[in-house]
Amino acid sequence: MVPRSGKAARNGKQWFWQLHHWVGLYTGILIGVLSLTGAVAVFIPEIDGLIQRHHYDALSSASPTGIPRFGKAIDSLTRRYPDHRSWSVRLPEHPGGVAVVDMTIRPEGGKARRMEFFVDTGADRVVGQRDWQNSLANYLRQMHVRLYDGIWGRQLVGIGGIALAVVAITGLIIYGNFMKKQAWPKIRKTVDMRIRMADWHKILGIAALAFNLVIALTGAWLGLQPWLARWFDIQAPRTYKPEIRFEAEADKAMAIDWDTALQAARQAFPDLRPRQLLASTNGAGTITLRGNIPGTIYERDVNMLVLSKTDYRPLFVYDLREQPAGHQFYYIQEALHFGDFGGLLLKALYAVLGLTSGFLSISGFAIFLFRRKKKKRQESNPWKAIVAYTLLCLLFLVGIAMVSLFVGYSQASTIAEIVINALLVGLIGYAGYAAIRKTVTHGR
Amino acid sequence: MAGKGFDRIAEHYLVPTALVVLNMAAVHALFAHAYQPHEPAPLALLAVAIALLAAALATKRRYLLVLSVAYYLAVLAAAFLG
Repeated sequence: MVPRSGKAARNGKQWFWQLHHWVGLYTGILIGVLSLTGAVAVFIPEIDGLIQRHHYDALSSASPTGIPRFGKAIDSLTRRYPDHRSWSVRLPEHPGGVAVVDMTIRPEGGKARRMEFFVDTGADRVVGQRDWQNSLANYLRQMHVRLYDGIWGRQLVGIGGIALAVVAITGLIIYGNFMKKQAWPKIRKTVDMRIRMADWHKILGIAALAFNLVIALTGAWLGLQPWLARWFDIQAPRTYKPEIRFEAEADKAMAIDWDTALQAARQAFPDLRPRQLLASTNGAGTITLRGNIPGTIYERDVNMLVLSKTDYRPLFVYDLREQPAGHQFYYIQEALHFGDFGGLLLKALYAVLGLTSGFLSISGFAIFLFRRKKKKRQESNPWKAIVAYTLLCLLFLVGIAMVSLFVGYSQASTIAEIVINALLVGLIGYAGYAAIRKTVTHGR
Repeated sequence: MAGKGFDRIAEHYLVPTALVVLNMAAVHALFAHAYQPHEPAPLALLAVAIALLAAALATKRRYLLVLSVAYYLAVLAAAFLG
């Protein structure tokens, strides 16, 4: 694409081209998969809402008071599952939507299960349930966040974020050398597929560069967070440790008037739109309300209010607008990454721009294959390899989805771990072999 | 300059800068549309920014590219300070 001894080499940009080329080549598939899964992942709440409505027929009637009612439903669930470890309620975001009670149930000597119960907030009764781990929403999130690989999938995704940042920055550095006298957004008229792909690669790459860089850096942070937190001793800034005031069983049995709790929350923290409610089960005697403040760009449910279960007075308020810049920076990452701060139109823009990194990985691979074909005078059709890799990726995504939805999450995760780690070993082995072969060839 | 041959500064530096700023302005406008639908001023300022950036990218005139980028950065600064 760029002359080896040409302008790029002379002005010192050859090194950046090499970096762009090799990082893109070795991480292209990862970036492509993350691009596709990410474009779908931004719509998880909307997709899950449709599934609740149409698959589970879970709908809410209008509440007579206008305040969602779920107290009786929770009482019935806690009685039905006395071995529950904890539970929380997610309030509906739209009229007609159900509240979701998320309950972790661990029978004595048994394995913990995370169940979701749908509550009609007008009639205050349970209208459906599902195993959360095997849900489509969980598949979509886990596939994007950790590729279904519980060993180091999340870190691999973080490395994908770093790789995307490297190819975006190096792409910007070498952009001028590659465009030469070509104007943006002109596509040269030629039958040479390599040139056409290269033109689209440059034009779309520079058009979505800022977006891809933000996605890359926030994705790298979110993926590598467990390692970075350990290495640099980074703690989540929102911390509240309540005092234990009761016996755990007494705390669990304490009745809560949710109408009063929600009214007390409105007085103590008027801008908070509570979305998630939790009652303590460890003896703290607290009700925790987490939620959003409309018009702010922070991750979901990060603002928090803790009320006393006995008299509903506020014990702790975490309003992120009033926290130091470090807290705000920490909690802005996820919102920026998932585009969860500007409604459906913004999500649609995120999905479209997010797909550009997938296209860039495919077009970059096409440029590489067509160039190699020309250089080595090969007869093979590069499109066969591109289509084969794309279909294999889709097969992996669909296969894991089917196993997760119809067999179980843990089985799907085991298969994904085997596939991903085998591919990783193969890729590292191939890279090592290629490097040794190159060194030996140059040595001769 | 535009119309008189290839302008390397505009094509290699100002167009990429304008595209970066256009990414930001588009996200900013949709955010404003979602949370301030009844306040026309911020939306109007952002609509002007996007129109200016689009015109600058279409004409590739240096002064328009610089002006449109500077205008959006001023709107962004005003949003933070206001």
